[in-house]
Amino acid sequence: MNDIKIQSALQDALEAEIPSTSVQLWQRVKAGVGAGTTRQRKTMNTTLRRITITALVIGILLALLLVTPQGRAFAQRLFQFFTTTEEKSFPLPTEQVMPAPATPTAPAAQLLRVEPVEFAQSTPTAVPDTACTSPAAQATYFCQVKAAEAQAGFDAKEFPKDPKGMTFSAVTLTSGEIAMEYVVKTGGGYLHLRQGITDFPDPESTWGKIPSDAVEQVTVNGQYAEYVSGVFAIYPNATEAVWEPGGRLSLA
Amino acid sequence: MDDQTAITRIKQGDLNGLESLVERYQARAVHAAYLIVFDQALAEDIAQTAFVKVAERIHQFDETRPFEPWFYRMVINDALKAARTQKHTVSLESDQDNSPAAYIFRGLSTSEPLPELQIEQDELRRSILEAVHRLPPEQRAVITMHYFLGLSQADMSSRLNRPLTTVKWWLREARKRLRSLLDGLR
Repeated sequence: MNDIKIQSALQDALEAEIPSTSVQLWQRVKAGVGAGTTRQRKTMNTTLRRITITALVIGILLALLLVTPQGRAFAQRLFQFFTTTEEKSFPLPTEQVMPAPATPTAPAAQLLRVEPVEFAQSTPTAVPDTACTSPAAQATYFCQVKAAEAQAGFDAKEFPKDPKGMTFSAVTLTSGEIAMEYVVKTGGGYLHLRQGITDFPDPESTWGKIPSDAVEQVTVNGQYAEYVSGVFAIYPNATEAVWEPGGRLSLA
Repeated sequence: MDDQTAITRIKQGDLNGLESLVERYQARAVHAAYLIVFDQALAEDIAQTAFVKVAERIHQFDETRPFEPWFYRMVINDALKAARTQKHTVSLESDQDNSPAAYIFRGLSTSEPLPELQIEQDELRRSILEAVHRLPPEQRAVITMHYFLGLSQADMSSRLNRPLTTVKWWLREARKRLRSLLDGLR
């Protein structure tokens, strides 16, 4: 069927469906024109009223947000970095419950004393092969960070030198989050520098949540930041992880 | 009264000018809207609204340009908006059974026998409307503008505020589907 036939068939079909002689719109149009001006004015009034009410509501909300303590608290929550929880403990899955040792001993876990981070005066981390072609080069700090950045899609912040008393261990990449791990040279401690550009720490993970009252608001280089010192700890035979203040530093 | 005179009169507040335009374009406007919305009452509402808009916006109309494209732009746009919000349902009940068998039966039961050619033509009309009805609203609009209003692809692009390439693609797809549907129906 060619275009002309389609055109002709369409016109015939429409004429058969709605005969032109049956279409009489003038009285309706005439009535519509009479009501049109009124309707237009009413629509404008309605629009104006809606804008006024919306502006008023926004004004009231802003006032509540900035004047009342609850409002200020809410405004602060809008800029929250950590995913917070009101719980100080959460039940553990059976497979994560650690059995108590047969002979009671001192708790294996120790809370580390928090000290200001100092940087060693030693030589910076070596960058021997920037192309990262050889297996030896790929194991270096530079190549691991470079590979992780390429996969995560952002430029990670780095320490200018290894923190004092620590040595670089590894870079890991999990769900777009880069973690640089340093271990204490004498053993018994480690430092993780974790960075991400999406929801971070993972808001869906129970382990990623922080008790709301553990979050301190601080500034870093003039920028708003949040500071948390603590960890959800698991003790032998415990069926739930309990928040322990201190022991780990987190800075978001 | 020609379009130019009618428009001048409307601008002067004389409704006889509008009445003249309504008389001239009402059937085509309803048909064009119907091809997109497939609802006669709605198509008439759309055409009526378009004429009211003509009266309200006549001062925005450039008299050096033809009236028809400006007017049909309003009809097509409103019909397209209405079609997009229409429920995609097909009524199971109908005032009349339009199946070919029922059609022939009606022909046989009337005192005047339907000639074979008449049956074929009516069948084709029904088929082509069914085929258009099955297209998405945008493709129905380009079918209406191209086959019914005889607009060029550039005009359609301007009227629908879509790139020419998009309109060309819609038309090609619509034409292809229409032909395929019609071939399948026959």
